[in-house]
Amino acid sequence: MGIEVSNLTKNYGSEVVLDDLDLQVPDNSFTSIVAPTGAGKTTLLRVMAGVEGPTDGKVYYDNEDVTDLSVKKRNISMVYQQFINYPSLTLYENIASPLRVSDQDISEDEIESRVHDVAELLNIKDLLDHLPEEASGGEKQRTAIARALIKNPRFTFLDEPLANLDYKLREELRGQFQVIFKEEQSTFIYATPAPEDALSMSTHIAFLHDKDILQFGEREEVYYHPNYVEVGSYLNEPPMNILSSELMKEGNNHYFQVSEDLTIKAFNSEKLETGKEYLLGVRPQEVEIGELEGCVTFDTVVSFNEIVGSTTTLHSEHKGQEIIIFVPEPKRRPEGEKLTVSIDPQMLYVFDKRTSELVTQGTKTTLGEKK
Amino acid sequence: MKNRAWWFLIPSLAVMSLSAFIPLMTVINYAQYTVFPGSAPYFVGMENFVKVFQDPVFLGSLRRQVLFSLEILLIEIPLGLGIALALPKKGKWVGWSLVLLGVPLLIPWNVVGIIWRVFTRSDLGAVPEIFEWLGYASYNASANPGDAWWTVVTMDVWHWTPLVVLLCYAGIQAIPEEFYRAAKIDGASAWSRFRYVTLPKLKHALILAVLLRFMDSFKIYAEPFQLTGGGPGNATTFLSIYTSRKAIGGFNMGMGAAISIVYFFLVILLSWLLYTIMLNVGGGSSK
Amino acid sequence: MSKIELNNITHVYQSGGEETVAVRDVSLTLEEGTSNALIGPSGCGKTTLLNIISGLLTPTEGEVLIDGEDVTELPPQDRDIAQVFQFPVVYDSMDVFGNLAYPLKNRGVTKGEIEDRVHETADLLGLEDRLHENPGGFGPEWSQLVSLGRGIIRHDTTALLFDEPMTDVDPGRKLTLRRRISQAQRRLEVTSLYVTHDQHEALTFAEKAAVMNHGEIVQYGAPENLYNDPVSTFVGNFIGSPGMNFIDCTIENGELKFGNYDISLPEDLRDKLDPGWSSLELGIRPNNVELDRERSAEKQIPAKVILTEHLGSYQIVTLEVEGIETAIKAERSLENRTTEGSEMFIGLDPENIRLFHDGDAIENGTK
Repeated sequence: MGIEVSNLTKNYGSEVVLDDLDLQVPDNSFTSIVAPTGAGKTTLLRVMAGVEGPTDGKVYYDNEDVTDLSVKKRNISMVYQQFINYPSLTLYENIASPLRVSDQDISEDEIESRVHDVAELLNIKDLLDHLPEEASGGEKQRTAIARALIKNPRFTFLDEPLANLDYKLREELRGQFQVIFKEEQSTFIYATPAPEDALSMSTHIAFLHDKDILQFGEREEVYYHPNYVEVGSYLNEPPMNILSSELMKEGNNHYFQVSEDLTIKAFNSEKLETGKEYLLGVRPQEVEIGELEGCVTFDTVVSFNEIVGSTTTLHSEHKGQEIIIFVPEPKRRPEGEKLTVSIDPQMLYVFDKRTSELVTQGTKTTLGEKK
Repeated sequence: MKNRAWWFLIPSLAVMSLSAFIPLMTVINYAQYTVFPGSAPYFVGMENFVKVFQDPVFLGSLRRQVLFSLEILLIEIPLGLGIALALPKKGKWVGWSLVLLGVPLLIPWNVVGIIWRVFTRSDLGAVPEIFEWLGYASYNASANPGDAWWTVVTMDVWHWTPLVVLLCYAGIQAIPEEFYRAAKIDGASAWSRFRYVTLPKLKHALILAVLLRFMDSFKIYAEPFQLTGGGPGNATTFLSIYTSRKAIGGFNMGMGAAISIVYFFLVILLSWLLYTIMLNVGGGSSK
Repeated sequence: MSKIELNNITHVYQSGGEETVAVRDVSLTLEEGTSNALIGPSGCGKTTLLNIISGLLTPTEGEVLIDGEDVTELPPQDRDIAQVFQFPVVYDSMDVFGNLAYPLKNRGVTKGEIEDRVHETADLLGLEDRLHENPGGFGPEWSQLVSLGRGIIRHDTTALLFDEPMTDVDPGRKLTLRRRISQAQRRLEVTSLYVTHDQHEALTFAEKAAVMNHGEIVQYGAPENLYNDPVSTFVGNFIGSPGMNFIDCTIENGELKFGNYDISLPEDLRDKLDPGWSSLELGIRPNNVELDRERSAEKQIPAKVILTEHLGSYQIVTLEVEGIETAIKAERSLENRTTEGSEMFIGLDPENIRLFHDGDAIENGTK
């Protein structure tokens, strides 16, 4: 049940956007398709929705082959980045429009009650008699979402719906979305380049990379067990630190040599090969400022401060490799300042440099107890 | 995905084949024959084509045609651009200026010819009077080849410059104000702003204007036919007038067909040349 | 590198008989060589103010001074300011070199000097490898650098103005552009003003930021200041992601009462309060809300988690407390994360509490 996409290939002329892609979106899930801009998320969404046909491959809804079925016959809706509303209709009429064009005969009373219900859910009930041009960006987008939800579609596709909104509005809507989508009985497919969107709202995450789905799974699974360095690094905000290192051996001890000043004792060395290059992933929030017991300590030089509201993303450099540190307060440190930082080796993800695959991860990378 | 839209093209395709495709095939066919009404057509192969290129009248018409189109482009494009730059961009006069400018474009082409013929008649016209007042007493469009030529050119400029104006105007309106602001901040003079902001951004509008005016002027027929009939002598006999004389006046449709084909290829070749040159001039993106 | 002063600027738009006040009595001083930001929600008047500073608009009232000289009526080109617009403005009939050289050519600078300065500027902005390419084909993040280059290549630039320059830039490429802009500003010490609705961009770039709302500048200060000591509930909410929590409260016997709970206030704060005040709000930032599964002396208030948002490096938890109408947001690190439905206990440290009356902050002595 749900949506299944198999061997999907989509070309535009000679350009291959999606190549032999497989994906299964579980029923009643909120699945995010995560990838940087231009990777093909919109194309994938459009093919799944039926707005475009695939060059090759099949799309199944609830085990039924719908590849050649026209969009109109599928029970789906789609919300776009640009808040698309009919400019000459009031918000009420905009939301009612799918019901008016549907094949079923729906009474005016029923239309009214359904419009009011969904408008209430999206907090625009007081604006129903306005025209789209009188509404703010956030209100227009909520109208578009209301219009998508009102016909109780089997699947709802959302293509970066928050992209064109002010950051404060994005914050608000992100929180509201979670509530809204839980109440609705649809399966949601949400395309976004922002890891925080995917992580905050989804039940499942599909990571699109190089024309294919690199990893798919439940949110927690993908977050805590990224199978590839691309997945691990992208699904963190700010992106995970990736340090290049070589596995060295001295006597019976194995350690990762990142630089002449930084070596980290290796764990699970039976999975590792001496002399091979490994990428060590550590989340910026796991890099502590100062010397800490039981941790590997080294020096970096501050290069840039990014103040993000209540926190600072501190960029620093250690022997040519960038180290990003997550500082939970807005504080600017002078550029060039020397900083001592510590990392607990059990917080590391180890990826094979050549294949990008996850080889092993520290015991503290997955969280045990939730408090 | 089966697209039902293709079915909507059938009426257009049907009309096009009747009015364009089939006649074109017929012309290519005729071109290889000598066709006189009343007798059976007989095959002459490429002979018609050879005769065309040896006919001095053809060569003269061709020369005149090229000269004409060149002069038209050299006058109408800068003039049109200049007027477009001078037009108001917003406010109440915009509507009025555009409408007034558009009037010459609305007049049927042969009527344009007639209007100019009346105005330039040596006995009743206003134009000869004005010339006399200006000191040029011997203005005579029907007797004087020089006067006829420049009258036809002037008529075309009057008739078609508004098209260039409208194309350039639309292009200018599309240039965001920020570019001029930035140029002013960069200390650019008015000429510099024109050269580095306006002109590059009008590239495509200008290409369009040049191509349209070239193709139309190269095929010009109704207006000069009405104004001068191609005379005096051959002074204003352009290729189209030559072709119709041969085919219809001379009753040799085979020859007429051959000339038409040569004409057709000439237009395509020269247009393509112009387009390629313009696209690559001045660098910038070919987006 | 000049000092810019705005004195009592008011600007009113007339449209078909209706008046809109876009900027209301704004006074602001941008010190020489400083980086500043102007932030506010859409429609707050920041673009109008920027246009007044750049010279595009002459304000209805008030004056603009650059280094003490009144420039209020002068057009942009006479103020020697440089501006980077929302979308890239580049001359696409010239290569990058030509673009950068243009402002100098127009001012009659010698060829040798132009060559030097172009290389200097290109180096600073990372454009040195692309000098002979045509910017018409560049992505917006590069074209904006070319635009910026034209602005800083002139040594007589009085100020650098940015009007939401990231608008067309891909999210993945914003960081590099932001960094280069910051670095350029800091290296050249040009007085700058960056206008945006995105606090991330603003606070990363600026030493001081002005928060604007409904045509007025509500607060102007360093990012830490705006964050820790917002002067009104608007600033408290607007700055910070998520914004400050606000809880309605009253005063009784020198104690702050909200819902069924109370907090003793420090002496100096107590003195500033008037018991007659009714609309009092307690402000506390989500990352200062202490939260634990177990009750303790500091964390006494029982609350239930109604929503969790996982944001990649931390979690935002929305909690419902009995007797308090508004939901409270708190931040949790991922290792301490929690789930919906959990019962937790909240603690509010008086040091982190800010009080607001009628939306305005009550100064506390704990600063």
